[in-house]
Amino acid sequence: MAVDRTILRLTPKILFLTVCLSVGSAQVIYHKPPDGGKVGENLELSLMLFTDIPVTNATVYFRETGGLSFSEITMWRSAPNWIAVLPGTRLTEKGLEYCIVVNLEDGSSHASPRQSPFDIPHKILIKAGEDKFKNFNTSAQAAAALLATPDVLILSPEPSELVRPENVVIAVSMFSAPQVDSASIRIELDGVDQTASSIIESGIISLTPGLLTDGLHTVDLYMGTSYGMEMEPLSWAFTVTSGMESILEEFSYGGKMGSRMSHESLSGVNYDVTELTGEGFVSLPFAEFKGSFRQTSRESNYQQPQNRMSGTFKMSEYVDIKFGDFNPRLSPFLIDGRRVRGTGVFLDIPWFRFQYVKGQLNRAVQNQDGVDKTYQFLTNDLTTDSTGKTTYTLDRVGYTFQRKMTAIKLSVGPKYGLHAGVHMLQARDDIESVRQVFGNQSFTVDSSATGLDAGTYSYSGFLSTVDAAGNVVDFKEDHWGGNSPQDNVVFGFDVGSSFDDRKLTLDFSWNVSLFNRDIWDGVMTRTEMDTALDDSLDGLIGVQYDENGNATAGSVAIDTNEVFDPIPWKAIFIMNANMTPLVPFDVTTIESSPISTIINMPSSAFSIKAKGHYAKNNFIAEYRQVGPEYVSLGNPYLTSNVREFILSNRLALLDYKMFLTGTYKYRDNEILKATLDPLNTTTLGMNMSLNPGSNSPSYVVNFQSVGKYNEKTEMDTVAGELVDLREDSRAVNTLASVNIPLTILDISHFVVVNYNTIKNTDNLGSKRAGNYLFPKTDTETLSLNLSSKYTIPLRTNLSFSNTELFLPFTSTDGRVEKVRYTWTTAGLAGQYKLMNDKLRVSGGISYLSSKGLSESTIVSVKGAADMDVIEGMSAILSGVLQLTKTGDETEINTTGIILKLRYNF
Amino acid sequence: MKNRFVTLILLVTVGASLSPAAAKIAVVTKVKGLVEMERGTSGFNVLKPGVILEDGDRLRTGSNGFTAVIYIDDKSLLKIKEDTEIVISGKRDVNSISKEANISHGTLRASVGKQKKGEFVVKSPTSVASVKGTVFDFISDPDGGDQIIGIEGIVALTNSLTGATIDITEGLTGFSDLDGSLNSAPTDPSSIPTYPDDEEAGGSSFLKIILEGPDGNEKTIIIEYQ
Repeated sequence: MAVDRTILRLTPKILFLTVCLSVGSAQVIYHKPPDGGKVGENLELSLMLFTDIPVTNATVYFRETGGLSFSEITMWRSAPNWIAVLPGTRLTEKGLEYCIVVNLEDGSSHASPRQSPFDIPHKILIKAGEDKFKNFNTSAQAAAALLATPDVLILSPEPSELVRPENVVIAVSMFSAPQVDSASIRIELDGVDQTASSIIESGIISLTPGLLTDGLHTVDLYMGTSYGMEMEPLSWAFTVTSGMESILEEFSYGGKMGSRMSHESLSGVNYDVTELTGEGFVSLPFAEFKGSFRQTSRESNYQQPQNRMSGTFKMSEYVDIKFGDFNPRLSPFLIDGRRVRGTGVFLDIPWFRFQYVKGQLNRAVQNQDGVDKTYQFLTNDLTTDSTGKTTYTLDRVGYTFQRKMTAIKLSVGPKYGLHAGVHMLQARDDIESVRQVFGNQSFTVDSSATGLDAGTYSYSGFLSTVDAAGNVVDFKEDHWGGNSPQDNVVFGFDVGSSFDDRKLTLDFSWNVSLFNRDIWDGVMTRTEMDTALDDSLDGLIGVQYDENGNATAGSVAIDTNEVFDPIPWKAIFIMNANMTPLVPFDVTTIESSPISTIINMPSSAFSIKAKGHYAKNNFIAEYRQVGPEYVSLGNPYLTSNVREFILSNRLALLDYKMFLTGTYKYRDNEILKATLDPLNTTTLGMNMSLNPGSNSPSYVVNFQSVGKYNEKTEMDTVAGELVDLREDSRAVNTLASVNIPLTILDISHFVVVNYNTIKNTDNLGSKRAGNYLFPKTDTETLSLNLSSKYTIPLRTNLSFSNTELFLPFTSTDGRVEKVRYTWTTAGLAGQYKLMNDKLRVSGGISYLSSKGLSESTIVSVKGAADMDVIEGMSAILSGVLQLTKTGDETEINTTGIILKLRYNF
Repeated sequence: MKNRFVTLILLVTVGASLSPAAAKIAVVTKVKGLVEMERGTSGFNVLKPGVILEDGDRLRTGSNGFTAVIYIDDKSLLKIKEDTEIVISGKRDVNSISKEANISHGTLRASVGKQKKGEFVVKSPTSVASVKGTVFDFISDPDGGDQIIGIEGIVALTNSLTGATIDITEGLTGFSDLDGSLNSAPTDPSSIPTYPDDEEAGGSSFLKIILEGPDGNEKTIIIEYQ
């Protein structure tokens, strides 16, 4: 899923998307954010494209609401849409923020949301899992008094109890722990999340897991307070026995296999995908091994791996060893969910926690498919010597270096007492992982290359041609035209504690990075330092000499023997002139303001956070700062050059049935005093949610106002023309959502109505020129969804939505206008079970109309049959047909047929 | 007008959703044979393990039925044998549940944890057994009277007709008859009911580990556990 991009590559992308996509252009992407999500349930995002230009890649960048950095998931084609599935384990009740970026082969990029996708991403509400709503008889006093040690009663089975397989009921009571938020509860049996299968109500958890195998089984219960504070997990084990006669019977195993074969045609281009997936486990009373894999025909040597192979070995609750592909989360400043292929060791014992990850972030990619995607002919680097011999230069492109990473985090002290730890990450590109000569790939030579015929040459053909003409080829051995190899070290510490019976917690984390954007030249020696600022190899740095050999006035004259020698440290970090920081702090202020100077080091990042909960209020006060030169290759989507102050409070009312949340966030990029025209962003948010009970209507109203101000008071002159780059704007995002469960004539319905508007205001509108383009798009969306469950085994889903976008653009006569795009969608889907639920048929039809500068209509029809072939094995056959009408022309632009097989054992 | 309509809908839906529901007080942890439950006037339905019981739920076991119910505040346990009908009651407050079991007929064992507030009361048409924390069997026969067998602690046994009360301790059985008579006698061990889950819950069990040597001889390790 992860692709090779570093922060340096991402930053211009963000800037590009932030600035360029705001300008009116043809609407290429249609994406309707889902109505909401649930914790623990995978969330599918889909995207429809209105273009025939092939897609290079489509990526979803997502994070928890208010998070520091984005994680990424690559979308894949599933006709007629592009889809991505966000894992339910990454969803939290804080909400989800995401944006989608699509790169097309013509070099253009498109995003949803259109404007400032990383600044103002889509925001959707994430609810607790099913049937999770608290209805405790409680009081603030009781909640406060009991918060420190949640008085959770294990009702059944008792720890270490022996139970028969048919008698397993897992029951837990939180009667005496009213501060536990039912919505935060997650229960796992043998590491498998069973929350959705559990009954959670009135402070009681009840889970009937069905027939369990003989042996030891472990229950893990995770919970938090109503104010979002995590509580100490509860874990216990019991033994299921049906009368063992041999220790061999203590072994248990299981798993499932699946395959998928699809043939899809999209705009006349065929896509065939074959996939084989599987997962399994082997369990002993004291240990368990789990493994999974995915083999897909989408795997390609031209990109990062699409295949997956992972394993987990777990011994009791203290040792967890992972290998293959996994997504470690050590710290937002280090690595926070990015895929690693390698090994992870995680120890979690009282007073001591250790995390170790070693593996590769990127695998080596040698080249890309196509002409000029491996070698490039450098027309401008052609030289001819006095004998008439011409030297032609070849460059190497299209590669990605293998990026190896090691990360360690060590923490001591009780989790809820005073604890402290250190952490470190080291990542480096392996230059040797990419070969200079890779196959006989082709490249083009244009007509300006003297002595060569213009055309496409294979590598060997080019060498022969040049050699035959008596000329030579200079193939660059390093400093190739593609990405430069990089090196990165991050280290830091964290300290935290809780106070007042854990009602108040304080956490502080500080980090600093060393980043080298180009290690082609390796480590800098003292000799190289000697001649870095002057040409004389004299053992002194920065000394210039006059014609008489005397040092000129003003020379710095630093003895090379007295400077830091980077060579002994090259195994950890390669230091040379391309590293940041060259000087870790501002030397001009270190003496006058040492603390401020250290804190504001451009390569440092830190956060200080206080969380508390008193009298049904849950508040957070946080300050965090990421310097402009802070880089962690383990988390390339960490936004740098930002400092933020966040205040939020969540107030519970009506016996925790209603929550009011207020948020204030101030953000700017003024870490360095030298920053010109810093951009200040102020965000005010209010949220009200009312959730009276699992079978009652629930309501959410969310209001967010984002103000941006760049302190620029004058217009700039660019190429002799005045350009208005002043920013003083406000975006107001309002969302209202009503969820209503209904039962009419024994038919259960669930109605979801969402209304969302985004209005932008230019506070400088009256002071700007009449032809100024305020590049912000207003939107208004109304959606309605009706899910119905009938007394017969039929379920239906009816949906409707209408989105209006008002895109500003400059017309040919120079006037600024707004064009209105209207997207209207409607859909009906249903599922029916036959043959005692052995056969499940489903189908649906959807309609999408887009009106604006151009108009089009898309109608899609889908159908599927899912049948249990034999016990444990099912087969699913599905198909899709999409018709597109543009103007008077109607065509079938997408067809697809997918066959899936699943086997559980 | 439109606003009033929306307001009305909101009030109705919010008001409906805030209406009180019966308190959840216990969980069914075991079910064997035929066991049924009636909630309100919905009629009897088959009871399944894991069901969360509300105040006033009525349970009945068939001739081969057995169920175990555990209260959520202090893990007080009721094991209900075959041919028994009982109403599980409890009033929740912030700190505890005031528990009461009304047995029409049949046999149960109550393992009552120390009560924070009031007493755990088991009532039959003939008798009332009140405890603060103990284990006892309650055998209710609407035609013949009740027997209360003390297993641990002290049970205050009251005859409902006369109001007379005696304490039943470990090793004693109390007899409360329809005619108002109330007395006690040493327990006949053979009269103590056995429950289907006694063995798995508290009886000894054996784990046999069979090891085969290179010569093919088998050795068995037997581990006895509680």
